[in-house]
Amino acid sequence: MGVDMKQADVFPGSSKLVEGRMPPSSLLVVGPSGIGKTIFSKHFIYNGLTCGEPGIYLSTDESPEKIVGSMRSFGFDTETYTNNGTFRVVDCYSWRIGCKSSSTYCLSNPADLASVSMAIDKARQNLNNTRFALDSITGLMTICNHNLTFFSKFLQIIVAKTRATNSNAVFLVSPEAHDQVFMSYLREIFDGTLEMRMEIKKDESGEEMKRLLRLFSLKGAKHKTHWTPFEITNDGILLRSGKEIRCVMCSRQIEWEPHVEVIDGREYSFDSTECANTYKKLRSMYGPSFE
Amino acid sequence: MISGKTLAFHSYKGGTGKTTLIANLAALYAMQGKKVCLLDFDLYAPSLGMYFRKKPTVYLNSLLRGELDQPSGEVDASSLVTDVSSELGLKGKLLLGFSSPNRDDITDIEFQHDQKWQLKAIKRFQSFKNQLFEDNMVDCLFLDTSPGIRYWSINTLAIANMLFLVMKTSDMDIEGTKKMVNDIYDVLTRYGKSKYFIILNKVPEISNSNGRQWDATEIAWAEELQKDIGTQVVGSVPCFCDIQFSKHEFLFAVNHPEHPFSKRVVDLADRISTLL
Repeated sequence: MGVDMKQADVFPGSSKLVEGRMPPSSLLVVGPSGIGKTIFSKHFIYNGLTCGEPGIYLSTDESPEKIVGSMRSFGFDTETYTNNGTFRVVDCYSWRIGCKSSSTYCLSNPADLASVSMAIDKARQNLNNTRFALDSITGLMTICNHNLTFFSKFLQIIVAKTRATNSNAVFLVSPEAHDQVFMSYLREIFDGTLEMRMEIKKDESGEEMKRLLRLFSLKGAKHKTHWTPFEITNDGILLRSGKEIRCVMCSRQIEWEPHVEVIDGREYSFDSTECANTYKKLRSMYGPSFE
Repeated sequence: MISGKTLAFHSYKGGTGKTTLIANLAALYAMQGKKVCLLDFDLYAPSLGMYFRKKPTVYLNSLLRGELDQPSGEVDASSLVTDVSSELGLKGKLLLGFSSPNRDDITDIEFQHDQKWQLKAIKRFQSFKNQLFEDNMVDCLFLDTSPGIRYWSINTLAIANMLFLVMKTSDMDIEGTKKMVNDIYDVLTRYGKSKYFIILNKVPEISNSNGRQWDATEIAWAEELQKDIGTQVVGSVPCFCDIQFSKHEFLFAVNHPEHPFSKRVVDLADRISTLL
């Protein structure tokens, strides 16, 4: 019995939102604090690592230990990739505590964007087709000394280098911390914009918060632009399924993004990896008549 | 999202003490504060109802027959499990699901249905399992299975993540277990992170069985079986006549924690916890 995983998403849910193959892109991820941008970017980096694409994670708000720990809590174990040098953290956080950092790429003065740029270049050395996450533009803006034009140039250079290597990158920003002019500038710099928002629904049973995302723009690819509900789960970001699909194993309606596996050349949708594993075991025991 | 584990207890032959062990372990975990569910999937010879002296109105057989189906594909499980936590004075939760001891129900599951029906029944079981973890937030699901290679013992083992083979040290049990491991366990642990382990039960001729420490005889058995069967022996429980021949079996681990059997159950629970 041949079992293959479906090709992994470039960013969480991208296969649901982008038609066909997604071109290498630098994506601006816009959303308020607490919406899930950071876990989105960690999920994006981890997806790449599991597909053999190295990842560089620049953080202004978390130490390397905290990044690794929080990724592990979502099942994104980076230890192997840290050890083989394909996962690298550019640490723009630990300067606050005298650069006591486990990262080789720790900046003593991230207020100087030239040194940030150099640290990113250094982290990219000896790596090909590298994914990059900048978490966050807002964090970097609050500590840097430069004006808007200089900051835009800094981002444009990173985007250009990402394009030159046909790689993917995400840049996170909290719009409430910036004015309209700055946000308009930003949208121009990147290949696409992914927006996140929170919807609060009130009814007699109380308040229900719903997270939504949409791919507002993406150059060079046909994509859906409608708001899609998503959830932060134990496995990272999961998009709700748009149409009614039932799990092959448990027959329940799949509420979230289905777990899809190709078995003997045919695609099967499951509610969870648990259901997929049970199905494969039983199919191995009883043969293809187990449907 | 399923984050808990499903543990199935199985054996080559009947009479290995599988039900006594699983009931005591489940109760012990619940006593320690965990939320545990124990289901009697020994559909051909159920005993958990008698063990806990319960006569439920709804059995797992109804679940398998589709009598609890809902349009969403979920099952109406509200009357299927019985919460015995407060009557046993447990800190956590112990939910029990029983299968029917009635002759008609047993023959119905074994002889009355074709493969298509059986496959639907497995799917209902999987759906119910998912609900237990998602809606009831169960930490651990224990499944008591039928001994040997039978349709519903295979199905129950396939649905679990951790398989425990309870065996005695008799030649017949050892040879039968080895054969069963070759025949089905390799397939059943091929996907996901499923693993199987051995629990030695009713080990005879143990000179010192008062504490948690394994006797030299038990260590020798464990080493030999580990080599012979190729998987870890995760627990060893000596033979205790007062337990084996007590008129009414019950939860020694909860009611008599000082009993040497209970100490071994605690040891086994701790060892299993490290594997979860």
